[in-house]
Parts: sequence; C-alpha cells; structure tokens
Amino acid sequence: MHFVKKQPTTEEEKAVKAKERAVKLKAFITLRDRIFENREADKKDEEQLQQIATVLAKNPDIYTFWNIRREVLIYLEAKINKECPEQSVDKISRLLDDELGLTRLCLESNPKSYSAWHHRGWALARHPKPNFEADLKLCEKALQMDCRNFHCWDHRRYVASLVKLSMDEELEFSNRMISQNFSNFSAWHYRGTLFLRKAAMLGKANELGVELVKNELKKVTNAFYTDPADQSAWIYGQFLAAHIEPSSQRNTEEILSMSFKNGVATIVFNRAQTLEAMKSRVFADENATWEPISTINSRCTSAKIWRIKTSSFRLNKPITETNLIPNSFVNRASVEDYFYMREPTEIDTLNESIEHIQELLKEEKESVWGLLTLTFYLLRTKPVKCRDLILKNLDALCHLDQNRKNAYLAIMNRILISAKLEEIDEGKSRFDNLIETGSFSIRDAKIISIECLWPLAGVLTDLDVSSNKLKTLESFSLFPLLTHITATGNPILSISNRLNLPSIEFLSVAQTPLYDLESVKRFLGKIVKTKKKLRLLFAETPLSDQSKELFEVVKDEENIRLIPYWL
Amino acid sequence: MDDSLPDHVDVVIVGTGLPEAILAAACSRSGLSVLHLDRNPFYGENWASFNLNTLDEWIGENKKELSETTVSESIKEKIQADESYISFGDNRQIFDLEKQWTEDSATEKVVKNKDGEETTSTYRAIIEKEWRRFSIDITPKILLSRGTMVQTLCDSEVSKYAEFKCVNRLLCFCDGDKKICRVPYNRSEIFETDQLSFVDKRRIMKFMQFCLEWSKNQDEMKDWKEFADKSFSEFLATVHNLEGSTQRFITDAIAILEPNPTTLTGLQAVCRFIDSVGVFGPSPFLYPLYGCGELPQCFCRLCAVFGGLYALHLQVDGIILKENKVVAVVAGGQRVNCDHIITSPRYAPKKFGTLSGELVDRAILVTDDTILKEEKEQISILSLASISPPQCAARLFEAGYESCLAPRGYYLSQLTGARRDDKNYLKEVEEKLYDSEDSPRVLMRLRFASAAGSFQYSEESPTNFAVLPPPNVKLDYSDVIISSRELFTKFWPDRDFLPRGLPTVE
Repeated sequence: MHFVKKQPTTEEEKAVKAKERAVKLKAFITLRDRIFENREADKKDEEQLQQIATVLAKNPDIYTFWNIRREVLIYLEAKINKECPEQSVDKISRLLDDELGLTRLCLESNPKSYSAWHHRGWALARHPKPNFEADLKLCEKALQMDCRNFHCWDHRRYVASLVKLSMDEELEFSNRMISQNFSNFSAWHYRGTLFLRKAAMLGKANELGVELVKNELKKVTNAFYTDPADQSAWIYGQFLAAHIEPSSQRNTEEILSMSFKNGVATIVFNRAQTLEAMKSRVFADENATWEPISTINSRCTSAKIWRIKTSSFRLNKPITETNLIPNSFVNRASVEDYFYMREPTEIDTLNESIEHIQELLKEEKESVWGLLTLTFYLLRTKPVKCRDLILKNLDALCHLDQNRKNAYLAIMNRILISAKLEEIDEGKSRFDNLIETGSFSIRDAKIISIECLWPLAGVLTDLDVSSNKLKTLESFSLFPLLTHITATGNPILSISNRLNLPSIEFLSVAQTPLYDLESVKRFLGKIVKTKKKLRLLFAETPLSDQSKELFEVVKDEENIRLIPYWL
Repeated sequence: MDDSLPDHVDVVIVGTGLPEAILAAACSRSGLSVLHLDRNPFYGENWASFNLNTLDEWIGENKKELSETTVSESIKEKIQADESYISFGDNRQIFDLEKQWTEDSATEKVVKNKDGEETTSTYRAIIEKEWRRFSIDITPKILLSRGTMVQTLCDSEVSKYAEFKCVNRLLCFCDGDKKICRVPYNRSEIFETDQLSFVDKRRIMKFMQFCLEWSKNQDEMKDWKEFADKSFSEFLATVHNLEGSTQRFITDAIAILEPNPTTLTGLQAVCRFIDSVGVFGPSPFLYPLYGCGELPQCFCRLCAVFGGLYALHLQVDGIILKENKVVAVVAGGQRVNCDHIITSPRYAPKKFGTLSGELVDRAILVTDDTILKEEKEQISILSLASISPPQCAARLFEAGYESCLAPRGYYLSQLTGARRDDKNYLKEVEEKLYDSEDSPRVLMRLRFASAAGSFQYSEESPTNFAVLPPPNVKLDYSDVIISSRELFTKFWPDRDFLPRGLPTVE
C-alpha cells in the first residue's frame, strides 16, 4: 500500500457508482411500493414500521412516510390499550422510544429535517413516560454543534413548554447559549420573549421595567464592544429600548384624526381596520358606502384610513368626553408622538447606553449598527433636543449603508416634516393652523414623500409642498379631503394612473419636468367623468407648449380650467 | 522468546525520547527497517511520564555515578580488521535532583474509608497509597491545535493511540502581580469577562483582527514595520492603545509561545495562537490524557505497526565504523549492520560532539488545591513572565484528576523555565507563588535541571550518524517535529516524512 498514488476516478469507476445507485434506487422503489401496498391493505404492523424506518433513515424528508407511520402507531397504541391495558404504559413507552431513536438517527444525518423534528415532538408529547430531561440535553448538545439551528430551537421550546420549565431555568439556558456565542439571535430573542412573558404574568404587558433593561443593556453593551459588526446584539438592544415602558401607540387602538362634513366622514386609526371592525366602531346609515384608503393596494380590505359616505354618523365610543359626532378632531398627543415632537416623560435608562455607544463610535466610525441604534435611542429619549444630531446621523447612515438609504430617508423625512409642523408662522404654529383650518404648507424642506402625514388625513384639505423633492403625486391619494394641492417646483415626471383625489379643486404642478402627456390626459379624463370642478396649473412644464391636446380632452367642460402659463 | 537481533537493518535508533520515536515512526512508515533500542526498561527517556514509584526509580537512576565503559573481549571479536569501534556515551541529562516531602505532607487529614468510617491519615500516606494515579511528566509541553505536532499526529494516524483534552484556562498576573486572573482570549470570553473595560474589549478584539489580517499579508499592513525589532509592549501601547493588564494579557499570555518578544516575534506568536483557537474547542492548546509520556509511546507503536523492531532494557554497547562511516552497532552482545545510526543526546559518544550546555530548570509539585479555584477542575497554564526574568520563559502548567495526572482532589503543578546566568530563578518564583496563606499546600516537591540546547558535532562525527536534540524550554512541540523532519529529509531526501495515510477501503 505504500507509495501508491490515489488514482483519479475513472469512467469505469463512475459506471460502477452509477450501477450502485441504480441498485439503491430499485431497492427504494420496491420498498416504497410495498409500503403503499400495505397501506392499501390496511396492514398496520411491526413489519410496516420496519420498512418505513428503513426508508426514512435514508431520507427523513419524505413526510408521507412519517404520516403513514403515525397512522400505524396510533393503531398499535389503540391495540395495546385494548388488548393489555395493564401493561400499556410499558408497551407504548417501548413503541415510542423506538420513534425517538429513529428520529435521532435521522436528525444526526440531517439536522434540518422538518418532518423528523415534527415527528419527534409528536412522539414525545404522546409518550406515557417521557424523558424530557434527556431531550433537553440532546437539544443543547445539538445546539452546540449548530447554535443557530432554528428547528432545534423550536423543538426545544416545545419540549420546554411540555415540561413547563420555569422562566429562570430557561433564562439560564439562554445565558449559557449567549456565553458560548453571542452571535446568536435565537438566544437573544428567546430571552426577550421570556422577559415579556414574565412581565405579562405580572400584569405589565409589553413592559420590561427599568431595572431589568439596565441589566440587559450592560450585557448587550459587552457584545457591542466585543464585536460591533454582529447584528444580533444590536437588534436585541433596540428591542430593549422599545420596551422600557409601555408605549401608548402600540397598546391601545385609537383615532388619530377625523372629520365629518357634507355627508362624508374621514377617519384615521392608528391601526388598520377591517370593514367589520369599522362597523362596530362607527354608526352610519344603512346605505353608507365604506371605502378603505391605502396607496399600496387600491382594492385592500383593511386600512388605517376610511372614507364613509353617509347621512348620519356617530362613534360608538366618544373621543372626548361628550362629543359623539365631532366635525373635526385631531388626537394631538398621539400625533405629536408619531412625529417625535414631544420629549417622552423622562427616560434616562438609556442615557448610559447612549454614552457607551457614542464612545464606541469614536473607535468604530463606520459602524452602521452602532450609529443606527444610537439614532433609535435618541429618537426614543430626546427626539426634540437632539433633532439636529439625529438628522446628521441619518444622513451619515445614507452614505454608509446605501442599500437602506431610502429607509433612512423616510425617517429623515418624518423628522423634517415635524420640524415644519412646529414652525411658527404669523404667531401660530403650523400644526395649530393645520388643526384649525386643514391647511399645511411645507415649502422648501427637502421632503421626498408626504406619506408620513397619514395620521392627519382626517383633516388635511390644503397642502402646499412647493420646492421639495417629490417625484410622484401617488401618495396624495391617502388624503381624500385634499381640495388644494400646490406641488410647484418638484421633480414630478408624470401623473400616476392610481392617483385618486376625490375632493380636488386646485392642483398645481407648475415648474416641474412633467412631460408625460398621456398620463395627464388620463387624469383629466377621470375628472371629466366625475363632473367636478378643477383648476390645473402646469405653467413652466414641458406640457405648457403641448396644451392643445389637453384642451381637447376638456373642451366641453366648463368646470375644468387648464392654466398652461402664469397669469 | 527469541532475543536475537537481526543481522542487518537500515536504521538503528538509540533512545526512545520523542524526537527519536518520531524519526523511528517516519523511517518505518517509509519502508525502512528500523531497530529501536533503549537502555531504560521504559519508553520515552526524559520525555516519559512516571507514577510516584517509577518516579523514584528514575530519580535513583539519574543520581547514580556514571561508570566508565570498557570494551569487552566478546565485542572485540565482532570487529573486523579494517573497522574501528567506539562506545556509546552515557551522558548525564538530569542535574541537581532534589526531592522532598514537605512539612505540610505530614499534616493529618480526616478521610472516610469505604464503610464511611472516619480515620485520620497524613497527606503523604494518602498520596503514597494512590501512587498509581500519578502521571508526572519529565517534559510537560502542550500541543497547538493547528500546530505541526497535531498535523503530524493526524496525518500519521498516531492520534488514534491517544486522547487529548483542551487546556481550558490561560492565566496571568494582574493588579500589579498580586492576583492571578483568567485571560480572555477568544470572542466569547472577551464578551463575558469582567477583567476588561468596554473600551479595552474593543481594542483587544481590534488587535486580534489586526493579527488575522497581518498573518495573511503583513507586507501590506501599515504601522508595524517600524516597530518590528522593538519591544512588543511598545507597539501594543503606541499603535493599539493597549496598556496595563490588558497589554499583559497579550504579551504574557496570548503570546506565550514566544516569551520576551519583539513586535515581529510577538505578532507571530499571537497569530499562531489565534490560528489554533476554536479548532478542537475554545482553547488553542491540547494536552494528552495521562501525560506527555504518551506521545513517544504512540510513535513507537506506529513504528512497530510498520515492522520496527524494539529492544528495551538492553545493553547498548557501541558503534562500529569503517572508513569513518557507521557500519554497525553492537548491542546486547550482538552485531547489527546498519546504514544509519541516530541517537538521543544521552548516547552520543563524546568524540562525536557534545550538547551546547543550556539547562532547563524544572519543579514538580504535588499540591492539595489549584492556584485559582473555580467551580470545575481546569487544566491551566499560568504565565510567570511578569514575576521572573523575561528570558526565562517561565510558566506553570497545572492539571489534576480530570487529565488523569493525580488522584482526585490533588494537583500536579509543573514549573518550567530556562536557566539564565547560572541561576535557578524558578526556585524564587515557586516560593513566591506558594508562600502565602491562601495558596495551595505543597505536599511533595521535586526540583531538577535537564540538559537542553543543540548538539555540536565534532569533525570526527561520521556523516551517517546523527543526534536528535534534547527537550527545550519551549511550551509547544513544533521544534521537535521540525528537527525530526529536518534530519529525516537530510538522510532520505526522496522519501515522505510521515505522509498522510491512504484512505482505508470500505
């Protein structure tokens, strides 16, 4: 055997291999057919179990065989119970022990087999004398080999629930897993759910409490510093920040804004509502039409914004103490929270962590997760005081993490809008003015979308977004009350087919690169059908010189006025 | 049993220390016929491990006066007219032997016997009763998980003859040498430890990442070349902001493979360390169960499996030369013709050369507790760099029952350090370590020095004769493999050194 070089696989050897494979395949087919024949014949015995085991040991992913196996097992169980009930515990135990053995064998070669894990759970739950300890140990061993095998995590959680392991034991387990390798979101996440369960048992849904969060932040900060590139700890850190104390927005369902005028009610909830839910919250007349409004799907069945045409209107629960039929209402506190306009009531739990992350960022200037978490922490604790820093961080993130640029821009957008809402104009904040008059002007504020204004859709009638960065008008459909839109000086190229503005009276797209004639024609065509009044201003656009075709569309309509040039 | 030796073999190897055993295995594995001889009745020479009783025998042997060898008539008969004869040496390898049972060992201790009755007995009596449970290394070393030793063991499949455990604790002094603490050296431990501040955690991780990069392309890396020959500490402080005990963790412990490092050697040592982390467990170091004395035996076994012939406890007489070439050995009164002779330093005839004269100081202590108590028993390495002269490369290796080195509840503490300026620094270190009230009780103490250094051939040394090096002060085995392989390639340049075994056919 010495000095013998290993020969590369030759064609001959390949042929031999192929032959072997063919033999195996034939054996499999024979066995498979026999199993199905037995099933047809209702043969439920040890032999059938043995045959199925042979096939499954080779490939545990064929769930059909597991199902047939369970049929046999259930039958055999019943038989044992009937024939020798005094020995049934022992006999069934032995029967199911074999199942545990088989699944173990399968999982050793294929630790990610859904069917085998499921069967193991099934057998364990039916076992008259289950050895949960052994199974938990086995899971832990398996997790040592692959700490992120979510099948194993799932199974372990299932076993833990069967054996009713205490929260502390489970926390200890999560500690062990994290200390082995903290780059394991399954372990962090499990921890989080345990704490939430514990809190829920104490009657504090979604609230972890200051002390616990402080301790956990310490642990997680160790991970931040050891490996800032590992995302699992950062995500857990963000989870902690979000659960220090209950946030009203998350827990209770509420109306953010609404109005009832001229037989049309517009209501905005903080959560999407189905038609059924709407009808239980709002009383309208029998012939009312209910219209959910969303930009994502025009035929959606649930939405946060609803537009109801009805002659009578009443809420089942008053928003304010007496007012069952408010003409116009804005839930100021919640909307201000949404726009990060209020500093939350003293959250200093995060201050230490904020300092630690800032310290870390001095050494790790390009840590996306660090910068992002810091920004979230600041938004959570000092959104007004640190508004400039937050915007600066988000801008840095746009450059560091280009793939998620639009997500960062969306947050920036909301903050920019909130700054505008706070701005004082003629001795009054724009937010106050909006609540009173329904009109809001956000000029020259680098806005890329107005979608985040949705909580105010119940009152917003007049919007001036001149000189911003809007590329499309599509999201204006979220605001069914809009009568006046001034979108002058935005990079708009066309008018989307999906744009739906039921109340529109004036629309300015002047000073835009709008060139898509067909899209404007379509839009005008729709307006013509509704016989509504409209003034459309498109001065200083590529269409100004082609307005002839547009006049053609509206030639008989007195209500529609096209303005291609400044007056 | 037939005691006669063959008339001719390709190689005669004298001495069964680790380098000789590796070479014997390599020769035999490569198809050469090997005769492996030793005067001792046990394998391993000064690479062996002993229990309490055999240790005493070994001490006795090494204290004996060396006798002059005489050439008997029967040997003279075997030498032909054109041949000459030279006796094998019997060079002393172990010096300054000093063994004592301490006063503490006479302390009485309450023990329960099998029936649960309580009796009192002295520590010494308890330990001596369990003499078999000890496995005391004369040369304790560790294996680096991705080092040449492990590679050789795996390739040659010698690994299946032994079992290994991870050295799970790396220790070092902190807080101004007052406290011994655990050195965090991998991601999980750095995450868990309280010994490091947040910022230091980041810096040490960053430094590790730097090392990973550095091991791949050091030429393109910045900020280290100007420090290459300067001290490692200076580099760590200036470039990586690592100071105080965090710096110590690196210089003393993580770079333990290269004591007293420059920036270049320090980085190399750290890279070798990191490279081995996570291979067989979190620790980069492995230690053979039942002690290091297992390794020479494993290689001898491989040699025997491929036909090598063994004769231990044999009178090993001398070498027959012809035209200044080795042609045969005389052993046990028989002449065996051969093409090569390789010996350990003990057997080298003085005429052919001597060792360069360095010494390694050793202290072996049996203690009743570990130097740093934790929940579970640990196998530890403690760097003594900060409490001894840096050139000493002093360290302590401690293990107990779990590694099958001592009876339950007792520990073997093995100190090793190079002798410098004719002074045994290790003695002072040992006293410092074990003199406080909380330190474990030392029950038995054995001190000695063993010959180290390299063999300096004289001009008269034949070209087909070679001497393998004695144990050196290094912590790991890589030098041993390197020197054995070098010699093998020198003598047999066209043969593979312990090549990977062929896959067995199913």
